[in-house]
Amino acid sequence: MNNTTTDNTIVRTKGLSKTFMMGGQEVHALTNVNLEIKKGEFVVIMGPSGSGKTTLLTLIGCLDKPTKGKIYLGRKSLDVTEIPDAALYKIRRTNLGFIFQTFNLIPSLTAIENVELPMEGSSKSKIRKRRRERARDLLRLVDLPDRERHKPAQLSGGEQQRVAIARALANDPDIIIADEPTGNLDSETGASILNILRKLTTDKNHTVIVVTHDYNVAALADRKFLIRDGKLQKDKPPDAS
Amino acid sequence: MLTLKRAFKNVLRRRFRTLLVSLVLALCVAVFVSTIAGVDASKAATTEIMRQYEASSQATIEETEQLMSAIQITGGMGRGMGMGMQPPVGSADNPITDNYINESVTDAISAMDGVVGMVGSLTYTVGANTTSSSSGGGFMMRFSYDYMIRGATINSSLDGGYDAALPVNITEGRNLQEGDDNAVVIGEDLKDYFNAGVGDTVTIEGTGFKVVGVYSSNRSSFEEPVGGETPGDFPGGGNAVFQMEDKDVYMSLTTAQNLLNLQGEVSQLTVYASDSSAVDDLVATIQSAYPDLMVFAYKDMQSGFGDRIIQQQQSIISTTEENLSSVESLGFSITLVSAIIGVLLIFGLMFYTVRERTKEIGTLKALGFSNTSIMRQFMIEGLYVGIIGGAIGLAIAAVASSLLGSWLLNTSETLGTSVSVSVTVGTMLLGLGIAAIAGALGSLYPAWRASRVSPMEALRND
Repeated sequence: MNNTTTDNTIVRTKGLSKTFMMGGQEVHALTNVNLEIKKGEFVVIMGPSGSGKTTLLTLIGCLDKPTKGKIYLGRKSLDVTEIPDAALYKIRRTNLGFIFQTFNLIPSLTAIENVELPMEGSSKSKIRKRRRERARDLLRLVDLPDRERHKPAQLSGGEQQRVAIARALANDPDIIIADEPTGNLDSETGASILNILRKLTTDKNHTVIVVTHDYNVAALADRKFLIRDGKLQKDKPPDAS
Repeated sequence: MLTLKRAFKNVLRRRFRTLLVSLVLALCVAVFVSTIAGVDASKAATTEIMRQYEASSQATIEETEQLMSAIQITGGMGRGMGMGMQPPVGSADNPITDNYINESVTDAISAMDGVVGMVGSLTYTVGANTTSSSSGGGFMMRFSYDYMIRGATINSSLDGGYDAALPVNITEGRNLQEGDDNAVVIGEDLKDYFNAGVGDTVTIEGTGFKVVGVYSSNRSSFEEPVGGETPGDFPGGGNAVFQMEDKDVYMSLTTAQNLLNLQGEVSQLTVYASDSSAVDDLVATIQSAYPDLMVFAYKDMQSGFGDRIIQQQQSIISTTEENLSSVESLGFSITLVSAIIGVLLIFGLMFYTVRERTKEIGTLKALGFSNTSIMRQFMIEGLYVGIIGGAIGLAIAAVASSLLGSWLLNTSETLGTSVSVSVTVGTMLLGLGIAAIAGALGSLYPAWRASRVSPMEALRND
């Protein structure tokens, strides 16, 4: 079911809640989260450990279903909570790109093959047919044109994360979701990664949502969401602590 | 195509593990293929044995039926003249005489209804000697002789290919043939007596004959009880010991008749009835026409012989079929067990692999791979391992199938013959197919489990 809006909203949650059962007890990871993210924004979600920020990310990323509430994604504000679990992969493939803290590249594939991977089942035939060419373009975008035949074990952490970024962009998604993208990198490498992510919003008009502890990352954000005990604090401008 | 390539790369990711599983699977495939080859070889060997046996069995059955339709006629012991019989020859003191039947009788019998074949023979004992001793109310008689002349029909006067009563087991030289007027075949035990062998000349009743062959029948002496109700038997009863050795001198019937001046005479006739059911009537007819002759149906002398032969044949066929059935059952069990082991091997490997790659599965789901595509990928990986194991197994089987198949099925002992085991192209394709199916089947459940993994939980798994 769509909930069309006239503004540029790309992600909207309404009364979003998630409860887990742990050791026979209910754990309220998220409670009544309402937020809106506009197209092309670089948004950071911050909070202490166990605050629910990763849970919020996984719900927006359609990796899990909420216990209550709604999530609307994309320009057409598609209500993804109405889509069956088995069909959510299409949303992830078409609308979302993921970047993980531990890179999560497939070890047996080369850099270019990792980037090609999401394009395998793309509904856009143009992408599917030109995947090798597109993969090369994306590796050039992240400044890794000479490493396409290297496997992840032959790449540094920073290089692996760049490949992961290129992979996240494979199907030209509206939304890039990054879970602690600089968590396993040194500050200099992390800064270069952040630079790339920032450019995605300014040059390519992608929306980037980052979960992080890193205040340097937060400093680059257009908007910052704070979560504590599963509840969203009022979003703050990036220069607020 | 990309899925196939990716699956293959994943299989090679853990080379040692893949190789280990493949080798064990290869052994299963080698056993599977070799067993099938062994069973096929056993079937082929059994078919050949049965074919040969049925051929010889048919001949044996025909010979048995011939024998069962045979009637033995002799001149009778201690009988007087009459009906064309000549006086007995030999020592007047010797109660064992050779009586003869002349050709008027033989011609008349051969013309009787129901007679389809007849073979005559003439025997004359040279140097017959009997000694007797008695003790404790009984007695013992011992019979011996120097040699026996046997004039045998080389070809029966009536067609039918009946046994010409020539010796069967020629150990030196050859048997008698048509035209051998001055030739003899002597028994093994007469070589010393005559001090002669093949090619030498021996003197028989004053006439020289060339030895063309030597026979051996592995006979030995035996005792027969004598006495009872028949007139002429010895009162009190006792045992007669017949010293049976290879001491016959075979020559053509005509030669013997001329030598002994018994032209047209025979001492024994073997008459063949049209079939065993006509024997009794024919015996009665001959006996009625010639009451002085001793007429015996062979089937009466060898009670149940024909049935025993047929039962023996059937028993051998039945045993051979049972042996093959056992080999097939054993083969089926071995192939089933090896296939099950193969499936379980792949299951174990893929189950462990899925657990090991839970995070990767979560990543693939995050990247937009469906449950079906993930399941397909893992099943293809299982299939690859199956095919790799199958290919190695076929290579092993190609080299060792003969040894493996014969050892597993113990066919040489089962069938009493050596079996040549070889793997056909069809069997190889079957083996490879089974290995691939084992790969797919074994990975089915682990692949399904992989597809069910929650992407979020997988991403949290370190």
